[in-house]
Amino acid sequence: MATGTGEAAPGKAKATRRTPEEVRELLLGAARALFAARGFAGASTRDIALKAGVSEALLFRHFGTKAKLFERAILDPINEFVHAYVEEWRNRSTADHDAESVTRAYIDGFYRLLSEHRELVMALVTAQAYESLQEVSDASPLSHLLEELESLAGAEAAARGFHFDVHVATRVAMGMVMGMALLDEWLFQPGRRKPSRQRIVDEMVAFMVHGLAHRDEAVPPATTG
Amino acid sequence: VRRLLLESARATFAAKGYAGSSTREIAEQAGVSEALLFRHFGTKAQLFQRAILDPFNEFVNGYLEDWREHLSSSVESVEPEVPSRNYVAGLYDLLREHRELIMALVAAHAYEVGVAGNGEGGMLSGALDRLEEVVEAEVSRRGFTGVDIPVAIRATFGMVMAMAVLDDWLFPPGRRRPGRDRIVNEMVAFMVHGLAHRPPGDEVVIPAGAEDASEVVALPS
Repeated sequence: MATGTGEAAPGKAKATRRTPEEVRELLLGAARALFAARGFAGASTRDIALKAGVSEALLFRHFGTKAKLFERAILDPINEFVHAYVEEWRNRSTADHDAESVTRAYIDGFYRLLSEHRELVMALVTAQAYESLQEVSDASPLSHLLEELESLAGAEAAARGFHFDVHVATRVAMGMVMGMALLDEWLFQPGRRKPSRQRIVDEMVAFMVHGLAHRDEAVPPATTG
Repeated sequence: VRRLLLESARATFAAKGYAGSSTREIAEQAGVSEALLFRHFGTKAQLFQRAILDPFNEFVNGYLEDWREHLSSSVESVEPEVPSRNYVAGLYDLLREHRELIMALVAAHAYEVGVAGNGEGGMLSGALDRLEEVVEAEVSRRGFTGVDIPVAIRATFGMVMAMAVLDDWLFPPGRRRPGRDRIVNEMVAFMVHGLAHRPPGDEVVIPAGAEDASEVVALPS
């Protein structure tokens, strides 16, 4: 079949052999798109491989099972973000930045990431609830990331003299961002205008910075003015 | 009959999800005929909505009533954290109680057709809108500044919801979890201090383009 037309595509397939990293990325990209659109149960490994342009056997060789592929598709971007964030801020002296910049960098980045992968994260939440995802090794996929964030938050709090329940506060902060990003359609009336991304981020930052920094101060009972 | 059906629906949807629950089963468990179920609720999707939204709307209405009462008394007579605590604790307990049902709704909303009709998207939004008026009155009489009220209400709701429903994600497996009171206390502290201590002059300026058309929430298809 592949005869005649000189520089036809079939000849190039071998010449530009893809590296394992490229194959992995192609598969992850296809997996993200299909899991987001159809959920865990609705997306087949056959369709994912087809969309990625690789064989199903190669998919299994790279990821082992469908559940593992699913997990990597969702968790890799989140892991990368949190590691990079913690790495960057852990090495800075707290004297060089204020509480707002370290908080804003987290909220802004995490909210952006979760909004971008909203359907995919929802697919994991619901798959854990209703589909037997026992093959997924990690029932609590964010827990090691939360430990890293907790140690960063603890160091910041100690350096700045803030007093709060670091273990719970780290979860509350992450929960707030997840709630705003994932429940988007529930919280804002469809078809109506929605506050801009900037307003949403600013409000979460304000809650977090002022909510963590001033625990020892009294709350004014009434307006003085 | 209505109450029996709603109770049966809550139990069944929570255990089996939306798609996994049949109206026949729900009617049977309630001890009524399936025809009666349809006469009361129209469709399975509508029954589902009522099963979830009724308790939520009840909570919001009760809360608004309490708050109006509180607003009619002098500001010194009520501890500043009372409205936040009632909101956080009440909402958290409600969402914990209906955790599985909410999961069923999240899943149905994401992947199943037929539930999305009847303005169910943004369905919490109406109830949350009703909170705006009282929150605004309270924020202004306590002299809090710089609060973007519609967004603040949604951010705190999202926080409570995530803590109630996504607990498996947020707390390490196999380790003892903080108790309910510790979680509620932390959320209340976030809310009270996060609202009370914003610097004066840090007024929220909502620029003209801030609600630009590109951010209109997509209608569920």
